[in-house]
Amino acid sequence: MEGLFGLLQGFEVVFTWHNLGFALIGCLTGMMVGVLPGVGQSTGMALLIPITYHLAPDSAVIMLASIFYGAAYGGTITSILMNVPGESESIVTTFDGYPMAKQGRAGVALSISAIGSFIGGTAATIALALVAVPVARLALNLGPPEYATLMLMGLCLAAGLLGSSVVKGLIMVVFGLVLSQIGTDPALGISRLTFGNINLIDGVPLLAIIMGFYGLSDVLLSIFRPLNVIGGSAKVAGLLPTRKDLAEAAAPIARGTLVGAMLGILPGMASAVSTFFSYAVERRVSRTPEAFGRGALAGVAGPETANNAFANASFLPLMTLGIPGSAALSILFGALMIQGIAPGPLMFRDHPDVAWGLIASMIVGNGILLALSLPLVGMWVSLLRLPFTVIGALIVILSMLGVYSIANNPADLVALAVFTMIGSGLKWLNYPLAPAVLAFILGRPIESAIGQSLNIARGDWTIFFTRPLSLLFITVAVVIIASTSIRLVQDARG
Amino acid sequence: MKEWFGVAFWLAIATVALVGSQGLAITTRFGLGPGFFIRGLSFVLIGLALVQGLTILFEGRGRKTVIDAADASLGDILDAEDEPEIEASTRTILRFSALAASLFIYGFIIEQIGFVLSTVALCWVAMVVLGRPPLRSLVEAGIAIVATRILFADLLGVLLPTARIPFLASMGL
Repeated sequence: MEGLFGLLQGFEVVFTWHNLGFALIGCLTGMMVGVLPGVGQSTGMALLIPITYHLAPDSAVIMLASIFYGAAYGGTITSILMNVPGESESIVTTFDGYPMAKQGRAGVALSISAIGSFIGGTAATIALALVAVPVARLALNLGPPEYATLMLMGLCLAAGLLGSSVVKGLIMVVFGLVLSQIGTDPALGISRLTFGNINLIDGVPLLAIIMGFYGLSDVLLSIFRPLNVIGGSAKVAGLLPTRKDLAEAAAPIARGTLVGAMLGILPGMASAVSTFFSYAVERRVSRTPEAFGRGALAGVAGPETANNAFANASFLPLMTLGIPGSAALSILFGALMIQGIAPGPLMFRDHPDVAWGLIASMIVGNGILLALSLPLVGMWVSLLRLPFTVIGALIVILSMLGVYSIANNPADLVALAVFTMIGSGLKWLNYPLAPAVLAFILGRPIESAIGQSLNIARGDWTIFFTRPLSLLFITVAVVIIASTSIRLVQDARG
Repeated sequence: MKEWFGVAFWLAIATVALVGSQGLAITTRFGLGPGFFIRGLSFVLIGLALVQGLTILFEGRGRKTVIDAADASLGDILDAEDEPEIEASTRTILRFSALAASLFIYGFIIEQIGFVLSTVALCWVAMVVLGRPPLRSLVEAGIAIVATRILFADLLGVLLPTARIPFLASMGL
């Protein structure tokens, strides 16, 4: 009941003209970045953080969250119409979405995707509202050892599941943790790794890392591989699905909701896993598995639903445990921190308007997406004609001015340039960037939790292995790393 | 070959962190010292970099970057998030260097020559480097700067810097 009352409180926050406006702008921007090649969900969110800095916290978070799930749907349009997945999670949609479009059923594929996304997103959000407060309350009972190992488990999940090499993922985690050490030591007030530079006393600016890794590095790398991917678009006709289509899609939508919501609550899980898993489930339960890959409606309905359910459910670890489960959510985490709000179990107590406003805005935002997705299809397709030479230059100046506008400090621009170079190099070397961002954000809390744990245990490290929950988190982390390593070794042996 | 750059980079980062943490205590009488995590993480980073080096030596496995079949495996989907291989020529390396240098320079000149001139210059360089015609880019950069000024200064209330150089300042830039 508490969750439903909270949700009502959230609707009170959302149903103001300005917050509805920000949700609308966020959905449109999200769909736009999902459609545009070379501009991902994370880039779109990173570009808008400086703008949201100047808004009230509830409006800022509502807008960024709208971009998050708007982009999750935006990639669908190009996947179905042009066989161009805007995001990795949309790759699965091309398997049956594009064949449907070639058969003249693009409208049905798009509308079923929109309906599935709405149902999956809304169901996951209601589930989130119901379980968020109990989970947050449980999280408040966790002691420093459990909290430290829980965060380390989140980082191991990210290292093991984001990207194709577990060693590279772990290296990026350690790199992020090292970066988090730069600045003043929280306990003793001693400068660490600043090398006498006063601009580093407060640490590396989070926004410089986010914008450098996700905004500007892609622009720089586009010089080596132009991103103007413009192919022929399938024609859209017959937008409304028939009763038979709806009946055929109902079960895949229900299964997709379950798959997406269950996987979304795991921190570090890549959203592509949810769409792939849903596709595999649909093919397994189908009476006509041979139709998959040739335009099966279930092959679009299930994964698309799972994608949005995943996107909305993935807010649970962020809002209840303070652990962002993906790169995009770590950007949202950063935006909240810039606003002076620490995501985690205390968010529902200290900032209920922001917490519940965010959850309620997901339902409203999914409704906006459903209403906007089909009428604006033509506009999104025409956006693909914008050359990346213009988009890239706009990303450059918006990123630079955005970072500058936070503190009016030119040193932040130099930091941004440095992290752009590092991000470009790491992408060239195929290192996943998300684990480093997650580790940078969680670095100080982990340090603090480990310090507190050792103080409680008077310096005895076995405290992490003698408390059941802490031991469980460590075991899960080890299992994830070991199983991923074994899979990769088996893949390598072919 | 390029993977070895990564290994060298991580070893360099770990060395810098170790050197930078000289003089920071590992433990204090209150508990862990300010140098504990830095040194610990540096040694872990060295270890992981060496493991990565061994992986390159012994495995040398190929990477998959294209997904075009409905029977792709989960590994294929995750690997698809990796960046595709890039082809570098002298020209593209020069363009890359020009854009990278302009990002650094922008940080140093924005408060010297002011927002308008520095940002027009940055936008123009970005457009030209990315492949747009120079003259057309100049006009488009001007339009982009007007739009960003409206967004940041007028709508968001950000104080954009004006030039410190007297001549430029006298022109209101």
